[in-house]
Amino acid sequence: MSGDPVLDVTELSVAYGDRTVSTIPALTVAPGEVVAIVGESGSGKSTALMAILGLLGGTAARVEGSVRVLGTEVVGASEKALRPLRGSRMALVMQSPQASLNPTMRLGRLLRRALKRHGVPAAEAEARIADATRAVGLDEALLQRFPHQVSGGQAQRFAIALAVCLGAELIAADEPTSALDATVQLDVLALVRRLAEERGAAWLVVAHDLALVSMIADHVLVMRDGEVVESGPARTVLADPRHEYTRALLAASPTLPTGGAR
Amino acid sequence: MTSLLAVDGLAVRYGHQLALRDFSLDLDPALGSVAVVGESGSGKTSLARALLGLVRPAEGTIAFQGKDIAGLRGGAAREWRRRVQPVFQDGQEALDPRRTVESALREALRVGGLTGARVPARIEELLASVELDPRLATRRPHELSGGQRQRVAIARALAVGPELLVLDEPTSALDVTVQARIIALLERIKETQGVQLMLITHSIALADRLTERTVVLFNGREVESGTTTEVLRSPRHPYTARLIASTPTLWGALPAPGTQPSASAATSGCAYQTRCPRADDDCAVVPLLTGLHGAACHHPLR
Repeated sequence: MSGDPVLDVTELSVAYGDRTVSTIPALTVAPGEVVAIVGESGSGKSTALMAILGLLGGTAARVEGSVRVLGTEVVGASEKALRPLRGSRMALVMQSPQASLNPTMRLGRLLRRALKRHGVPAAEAEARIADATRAVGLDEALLQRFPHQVSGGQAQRFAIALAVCLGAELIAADEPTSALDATVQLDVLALVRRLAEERGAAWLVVAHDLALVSMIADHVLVMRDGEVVESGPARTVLADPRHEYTRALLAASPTLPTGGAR
Repeated sequence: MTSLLAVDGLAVRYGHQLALRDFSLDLDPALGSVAVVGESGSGKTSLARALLGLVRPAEGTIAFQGKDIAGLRGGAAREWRRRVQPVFQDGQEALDPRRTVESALREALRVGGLTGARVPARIEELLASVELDPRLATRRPHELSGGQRQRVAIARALAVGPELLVLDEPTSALDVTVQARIIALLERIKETQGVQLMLITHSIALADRLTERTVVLFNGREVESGTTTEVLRSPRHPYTARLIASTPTLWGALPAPGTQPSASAATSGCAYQTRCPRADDDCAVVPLLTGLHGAACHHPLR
């Protein structure tokens, strides 16, 4: 594994008209690293994620600064220039994958089609599918099912398997477990961590719960009203928060029984 | 003693699917607030819907002061609706988009029998009780934040003088710092207004903060019940223990790989047996729940 960052963001800003909604001065994600962007609604965290993936092209958003994914500049790049990156090098895992999967296709066919579109020969595709489903702990029999026939946790594992089998080096995830049941949530978080450690996947995860973030992240950025108020190693930011807002978020963590500002 | 609301042998069915079965619970202000905790498919929302008369029971009864709510008409039905008030997950959908805050509260007060000169003072009182800036009274729901809308929904529920608030995931659509403030507000309302809560939630932490009794549902059945302290501090059912262990904590450990349990519940016997580390042949028979701190389990943890 090289030490070069998979993602390197400098002076990123997203504006609608003259209103800046999200700025990130600096952010890097190295192979095998999990970086979390934490914030509440309106913090600009999801907008930043969309800008990093080059998904704001063709919208009213004005994106400035630099986002380099595996050395390729994303800001200002054409759709055509981004195509080689999409799926095979960077992937997006959403909150509710079931809503984003074609409901008329069985899961296995969805995987095979995606691999074919990325030019993977059929024989290699089967090997990759077997490998990816094993890596995410998904029963291969489930590939015979349609998206609505699996549970939320299984669908989320499938979405991650899709990224793994295309060989994505940067996996961005927007609240990947907040739509899942509590007993499934930790299994998916463990999977995020394991893929980082065992396969060197670089993760950029957007989340709102700091307790959850503390269990997976190496590095944390805390955002509020479009700005990064604090960033650093997770150990430092969460154990010794400098910013008052980070402390408020920690106190309010919905999962901590003792949490909540009285 | 006749309870305010007594649920007896309740079952809720959608088509062939039994969402909730054989559920009994007494709800009375004297018994304290109750949390019904469960994950998706547990039947918790079906229970809330049945309590509010939004879905008809397939079996069993829900009695308001001893009378089946299915048969309530006129004044008796109004009395039930006044004393048992709902608060839903999202104030945006629960509030009339055309009404201002003031108009929504005025209407609720009218339903509760209050009109005339005392209305403005009572509206002011209600806004104060949910700690909402009186200047927001002229706004409509879309001009409020999620937390403010939830405060309006709570004020409206309080307007008719209820004894029981049925809250279905009242904070899960809100930002975390807003959640903390709404939870603190519900705590104060409980203490100062003598209103009890029936809290439907997936959150162990919320049940812990707000209630005296907790019922845990799994796959449409009650699997454990007792005081909130007993159930959450000394769980007896393996499912309750797993639910508690699944709550993220700061620096908490992640589960080891290869422990992904079977996703589907067992179709006969104990529904949890396919995921349960303690399951054996006994579990082919549906376990019964008995006792004050009971667990529907053949091999409880304690």
